[in-house]
Amino acid sequence: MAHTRMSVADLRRRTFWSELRVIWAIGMKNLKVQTRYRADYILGTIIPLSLIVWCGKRVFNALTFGPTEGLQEYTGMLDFASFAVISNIIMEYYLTVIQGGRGNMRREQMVGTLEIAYTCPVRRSILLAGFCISNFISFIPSILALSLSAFLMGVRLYTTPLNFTLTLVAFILSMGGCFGFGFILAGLVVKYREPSVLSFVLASPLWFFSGDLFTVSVLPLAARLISYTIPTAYGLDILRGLLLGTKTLLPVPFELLVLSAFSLLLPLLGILIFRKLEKSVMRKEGIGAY
Amino acid sequence: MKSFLRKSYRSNIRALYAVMKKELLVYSRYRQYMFFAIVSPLFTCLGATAMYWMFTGPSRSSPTLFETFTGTNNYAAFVFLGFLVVFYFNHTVWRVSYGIRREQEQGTLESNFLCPTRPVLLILGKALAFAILSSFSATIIFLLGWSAVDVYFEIANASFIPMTLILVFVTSFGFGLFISGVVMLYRQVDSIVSFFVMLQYTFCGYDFALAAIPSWIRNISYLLPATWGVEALRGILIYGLDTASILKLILTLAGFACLYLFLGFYFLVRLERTVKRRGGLGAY
Repeated sequence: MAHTRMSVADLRRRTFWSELRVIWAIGMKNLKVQTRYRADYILGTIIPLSLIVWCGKRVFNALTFGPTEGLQEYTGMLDFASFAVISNIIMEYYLTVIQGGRGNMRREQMVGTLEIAYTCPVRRSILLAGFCISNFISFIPSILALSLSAFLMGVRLYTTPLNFTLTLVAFILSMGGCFGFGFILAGLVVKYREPSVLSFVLASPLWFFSGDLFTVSVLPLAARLISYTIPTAYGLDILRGLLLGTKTLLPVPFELLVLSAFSLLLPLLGILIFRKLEKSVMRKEGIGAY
Repeated sequence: MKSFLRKSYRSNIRALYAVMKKELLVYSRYRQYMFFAIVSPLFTCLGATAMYWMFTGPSRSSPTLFETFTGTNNYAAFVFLGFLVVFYFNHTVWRVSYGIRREQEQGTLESNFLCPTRPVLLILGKALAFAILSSFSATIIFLLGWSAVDVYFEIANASFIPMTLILVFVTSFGFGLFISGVVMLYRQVDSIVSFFVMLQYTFCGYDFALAAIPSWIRNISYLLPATWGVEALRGILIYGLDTASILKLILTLAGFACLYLFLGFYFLVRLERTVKRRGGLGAY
C-alpha cells in the first residue's frame, strides 16, 4: 500500500525529467502516426520530393535573371542559386516548426483526444513545446535530403568554422521565435479550429515579409517595417550572412541580440495568447468541440 | 418511386447542383478558405516581383537576362498571369482530392457512392464549385496586384481568354478524377498530390523563362498542361501574339484536356473497382 502511495506521489511530482519524458512521448506518438501512412511518410519526409523540386525551381530563377549588378548591390554576391536554395531550406524548417503547434493541436481536436490530453497532469506549455519539438525532430530527415540535393544542384557555402559555429547559435535562437509563433497558431486553432487554411493564410505573409526570395532591403519602407518585427526575417538574414557571406540588415552581433530578445519574448507572448484564447474557448464552445 | 431511379439529363444536373451547393456551403463555413485563396497567391506573386526588383537594383533599371529570353520587361504581369493559371489548375485538383478525403474521414464517401448518381458527377460538382471560387479569387488578386505593383496587360484576341480558362478547368478536372481514385485507394496521399501540384508549379515557368532552363528540363515542362495554359494566356495578354499562334497553343492545351480527361476516367473506374472489390470504400 505504502509502495503504491509512493508511486502516485512520484507520478504527481513534476521534474525536469518528467517534462522531458512528456515531450519524448509526444514525439514518439506523432512519429508512430506519421509512419503508419507509409507512402506519405516516405514521399513527404524521407525523400521530400516536393521540397527538392521546389529548390530546383530556385535554380531556374537564377538562370532566368543571371548575375546582375542589382543583385550584387543588394546582397553582395552573384550566386543567386545558393542564396535562394539556402533560404528555402531554412524557411521550410521555420515553417515546419511554426506549424507543429497548430497541426498537432488540430489532429488531437479532430480525433477527439484534445480534451483527454488537457486533463493529463502535464503543463500546457510542455504539451505545446512537445508538439513543436516533435515536428522539429521529424523534419530532420527531410533537411538532410534537402541539403544533399542542394549540394548536387551546385549550391555552395562560403563560410568559415567560426561562422559555422555562429550559424548554429543563430539557428537555435531563431527557433525560439518560431516556437512562439507556433504557440500563437495553436491558440488560434483551439479557438477557430480549421488549421491548414489558417496556417497557410499566415504562412504566406510570413514567407513574404521574411524575405525568402530576396533581401528585405528590396521592399518599400512600409513593408520593410513589418519585416523588422518578424524574427524569421532576422533569422534568414543572419543565417544567409554567416553561410554565404551576404550583406546583413544589421551587424551580426546586433542581429544575434535581436534574435535572443525574440527567442525570449515570443514564446512567452505565445503562451499568454494561447492561454487567453484557450480560456475563452473553455468558457464558450468547450475544448472538445470539433 | 420509379422516377427516382431513372437517370435523366435533368436529374444529373440536379445532382451536380446539389454537390456544388454542398461544397460551397462547407467552404463558406470555414471563412478562412477564402482568405487563403486570395492571400497565398497574392503574396507568392508579390514575392516573385520583389525578387525581380532585387535583380534590377535600387534604380529598378539594371538589365537582366529575363528581357533577352522573353522580349518583355513586364515581369509583374508575367508572374501574376503565370501563377494564376497554375493556381487555378492546382487549387481545383487539390480541393477535389481534399474533398474526397474529407468524405472518407467523415464516413460519408460510401453512402455518397451508393446514391443513384454517377461518381463522376460527385467529383465534377466539387471541381466546378472550386473553379467558381478560383475565378473569384483570381479577379480579386488581379485587382490587388494592379493596385500594389501596377500589373497591366496589352490585350490582343481577348475572345480566346474564356476558351483557355475552360480548357485549363477541363484538364484539372481530368487530373482530379485520377487523384480521386488514388485517394480512394490509398487514403492519405497528401504527399503524392502535393508532389504533382509542385511539379506544375516548378516546371510550368510561372516565374521564370522556359527558354532559360536546360532543354531536357524544358521537355518536362512541355508535358505539363499548365505550361500551355500559361503560355496561351501570356500570348494573349502580354506578347500580343497573332490568332494563328494563339490557336496553336490552345489546340495543344485542348489535346492535353482530352488526354487528361480520358486517363482520369479510365483510372477512376479502375481504381474504384479495385477499392470496391477490396471492400475498402468506407475505410478511413
